[in-house]
Amino acid sequence: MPLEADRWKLVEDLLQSALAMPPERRDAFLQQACAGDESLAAEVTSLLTSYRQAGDFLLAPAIEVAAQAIAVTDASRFAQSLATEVIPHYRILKHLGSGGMGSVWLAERSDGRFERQVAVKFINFAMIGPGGAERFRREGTILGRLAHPHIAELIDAGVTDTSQPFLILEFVEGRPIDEYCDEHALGIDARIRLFLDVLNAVSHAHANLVVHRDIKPSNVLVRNDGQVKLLDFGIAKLLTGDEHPAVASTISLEGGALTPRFAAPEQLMGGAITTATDVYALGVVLYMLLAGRHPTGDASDSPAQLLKALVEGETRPPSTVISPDDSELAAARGTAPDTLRRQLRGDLDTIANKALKKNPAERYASVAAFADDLRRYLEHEPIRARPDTFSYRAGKFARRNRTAVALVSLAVVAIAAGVVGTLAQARTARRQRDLAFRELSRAEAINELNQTVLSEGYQSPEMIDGAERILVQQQEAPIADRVEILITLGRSADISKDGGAQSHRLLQEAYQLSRGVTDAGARAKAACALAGEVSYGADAARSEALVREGLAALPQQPEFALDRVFCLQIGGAVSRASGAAAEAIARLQLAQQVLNESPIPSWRLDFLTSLDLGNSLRLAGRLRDASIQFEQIAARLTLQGRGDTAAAASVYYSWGVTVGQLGRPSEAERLIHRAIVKESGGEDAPDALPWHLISHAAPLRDLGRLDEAASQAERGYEGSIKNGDQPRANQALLLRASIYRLRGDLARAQDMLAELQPRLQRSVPPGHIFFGSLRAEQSRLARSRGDLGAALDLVNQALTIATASAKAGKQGADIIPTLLAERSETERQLGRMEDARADASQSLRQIQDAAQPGTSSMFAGRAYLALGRVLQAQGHTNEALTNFQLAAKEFRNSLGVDHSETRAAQQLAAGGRR
Amino acid sequence: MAKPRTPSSGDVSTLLQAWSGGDRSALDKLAPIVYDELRRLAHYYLNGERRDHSLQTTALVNEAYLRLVDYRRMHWENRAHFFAVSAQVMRRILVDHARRRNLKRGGGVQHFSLDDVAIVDGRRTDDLVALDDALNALGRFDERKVRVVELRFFGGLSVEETAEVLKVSAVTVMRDWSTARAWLYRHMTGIASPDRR
Repeated sequence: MPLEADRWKLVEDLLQSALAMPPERRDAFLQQACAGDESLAAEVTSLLTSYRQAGDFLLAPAIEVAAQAIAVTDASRFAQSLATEVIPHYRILKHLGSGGMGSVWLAERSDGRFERQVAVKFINFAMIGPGGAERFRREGTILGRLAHPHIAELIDAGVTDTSQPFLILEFVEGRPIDEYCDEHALGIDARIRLFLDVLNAVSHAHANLVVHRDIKPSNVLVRNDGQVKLLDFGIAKLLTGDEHPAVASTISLEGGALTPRFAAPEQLMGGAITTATDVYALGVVLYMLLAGRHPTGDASDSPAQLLKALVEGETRPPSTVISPDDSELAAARGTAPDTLRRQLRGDLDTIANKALKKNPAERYASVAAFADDLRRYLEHEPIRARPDTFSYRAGKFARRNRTAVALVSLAVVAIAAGVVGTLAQARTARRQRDLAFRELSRAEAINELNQTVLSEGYQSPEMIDGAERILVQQQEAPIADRVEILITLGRSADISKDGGAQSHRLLQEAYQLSRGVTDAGARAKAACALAGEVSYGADAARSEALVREGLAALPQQPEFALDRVFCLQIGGAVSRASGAAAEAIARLQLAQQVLNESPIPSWRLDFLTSLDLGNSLRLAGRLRDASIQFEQIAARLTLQGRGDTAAAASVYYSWGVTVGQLGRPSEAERLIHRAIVKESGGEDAPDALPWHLISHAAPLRDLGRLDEAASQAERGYEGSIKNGDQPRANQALLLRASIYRLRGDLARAQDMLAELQPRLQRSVPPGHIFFGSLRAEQSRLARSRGDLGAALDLVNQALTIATASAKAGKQGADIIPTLLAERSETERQLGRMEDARADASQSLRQIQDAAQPGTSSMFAGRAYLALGRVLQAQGHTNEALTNFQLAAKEFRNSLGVDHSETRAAQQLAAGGRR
Repeated sequence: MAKPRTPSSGDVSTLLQAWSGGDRSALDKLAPIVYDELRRLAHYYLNGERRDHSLQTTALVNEAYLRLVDYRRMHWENRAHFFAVSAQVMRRILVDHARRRNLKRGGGVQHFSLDDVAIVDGRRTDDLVALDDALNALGRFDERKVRVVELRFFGGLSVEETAEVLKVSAVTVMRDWSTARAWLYRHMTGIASPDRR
């Protein structure tokens, strides 16, 4: 080994010496240094080669590499799912690229009417609900009217048969404008002339009331023939017209994500987005074309610095950032650094400065005015913009430093600003109800978007705080706007973290504010949103009163339909929380009816009411209906491309629990497992929800996978304790007790139940179904110990509790058949054959009544088995065998062929033939 | 539909301390915190066009490291030890994560190749599992270079910080770093080494 180590040291020394010298001298050096040791020379040469080839290997931090790998797989998984989409009249040729908003494909006309190739953009965010296809097409038409030689044409927009929205765009092959200018070494005047084409295009769009919102070099392409093409007016927002000429209200196709480096300060701070916003972004592009760098400089690498620079910092005039070392940069502009600096100094500094003002009102009043000054510069006429004087700048500096901006991280602020901005737009459209339903549709779509942004991974207390701070700064926003924004933020706040304190505060504030507005929609929503929150705090009567108050505030007009659905959905939750499942079902069915008749679709409300309806059906003991309901929601989600979202996870979870209650543990296990994986993004799910884990443990136990069951139940128990979630911790304890019992560790099982009893007495009212479950488990334990008398007594108590609870319209009906089958077993062992036979028959009848046709149930298996055993004991061998065979079939289908209960039943069924 | 919350990043220092003190379960508790950051970053990539985002990407990654590793670093008595442990933890967690993802995709065979994924001789240089193997191989005869790669690549430390942790000069770190990159790249891409018998 020492020899090897010496040699490795030698190899490294030679490698480092070679790297330190110019490449052309390395060979000679190695030949001399290795002095005939061919293998040594070859080793060093091969390392030199791989050093050269390594490129940026290991230069990006590991966490970035890992995150990028996830992003790449996710994006291409989505892209691959689109390859088979069919768009009438077009044939898809190849995949051009993917991003968060979707993927872009090259396509051509398939009907031979045009030769032309087009770009097809599939939109990732499927905001298409019932009736949405028409809406999407209409919006596309508006944008399609933006015909201009320098704007990439929007040819068509629509939705495929599988509800996948798409845009068909002019296919532009070209280079980003800054790269194009550098590659062609365009001088300053040539650059300005090219840039004037861009201004011309944007000015045309503004004249048509369309703001681009995301102008940046990669959206400004120059084709090989030198033609400029502006891309992605797809995310532009239509201006609303007279009253609010500056407020954009079209849905953003890219999920409201903006590009912070090119965003204007008002975009980052949640201000109104106007044509001045585009002027700013155009100023950034001009600055880069002139000075070769971003106006905030390239060194701002910490989020806080970048934000500070964007919002507060003075922009250095382009001429002052050119240094004598910039010879390469100047050469790309056909000149030398000194000349370039002289060229920029004066008018161009003033023009760039005017476009990049932090305050929108101080910028060029229009893109046309911006263009006019550049034209004057080219023609050596005096420009209209005036340079800042020193005293002006000094005064500005002092003012700015007094208003220090609260710095959150850039990402948080950018997202929060986007959310608050679009919420305000949604509100604006809503307030002008007399405009058109189209506007309302958009408002709802924006609501959905924000809800998604807030619930699918971005939501964090810091983000909500950030959004709230921005809201506080927007004191001039109309009160009704503020109410709606507070509602959205309050409902997005994470209740598991602080027990709902943040959520409560926000919703309470929304409610107080709403008392001062006349808008019925805002008043109703604020009351109902607070009801939803109060119900979490278990004040059922107050919640119910608020829901009624909200519903009563709403006029019957169709434009309030969605507000009504909102209130009914929360009303359903409130009823359910107080145990009134039947009323919850009625409210949710009414909500669905209102939604179906509403002129405005809402995917989000449709989903929420469907899911809640399923859960209410389950709680009412209508397991079969609930299971069908969940199955339909899951199918719809898959069809809409939402099968991988957190929303889908919650459906799989509820569906799994339901089929578990129907005695189908294999299916239940698969569904809940899928929910856990989707919800927490990993196979071993380090951050799975505790109640998901607990619900997973039950089918695992029934399937005989006791180790896994124990582990999930334990993790779920610990998680629940940590969250302060007593009911679920209790549920986990009960499960763990049953797992210990099945493992034969009766003492531990006994200890767990002993721990559970006093906890239940503290946390649930007497007569609660949970006591029924506890008695049932105590009965099973007694039977395992052979104490049949106690077992019978306990199962009787369990039945009494369950029957009373079910009669009162609460949970319990679903466990009665199981309890009857169990009592039958005990009675048979005690020799009370007639009772045993009656119980088994009744159990079977109830299970068959509740079962979904064509499915098997482990509970049915147990009932057949119980009945068979009684019949056998009574000497009815043939009838007993039939029941054993039926039991075996039920077990086989619900538990699998290898399960011990299946095998036991099969043995009994085969027993007679021997 | 409340989202699950992972432990606050304030726990990171405590957990790292526990792990370095031999508490195996600390790693399990750290993993979700790292995954959270990972998903946040992945989400970000998914929503961006890389070209214009390079600056912000750097900022985001820095921020991720700050949140994960740098947190309350001044309360840690032995700064060097803290960095060393966090880099090792990052390696364990990220490699485990990559290994599971590979498994889920079918044994690492079905890699999706997008333009910027380097594939040489059918092996990917951005594969953290392959890198882990290569690091283990390198560790058999040059342990310090493995530490350097761990601190810089997995721990996100600069050359100077790495030098401080390892108590060697910055020049040594740079030498180790460039040699290790060349050796690892060769090992992972399968360019034949004449020394391999």
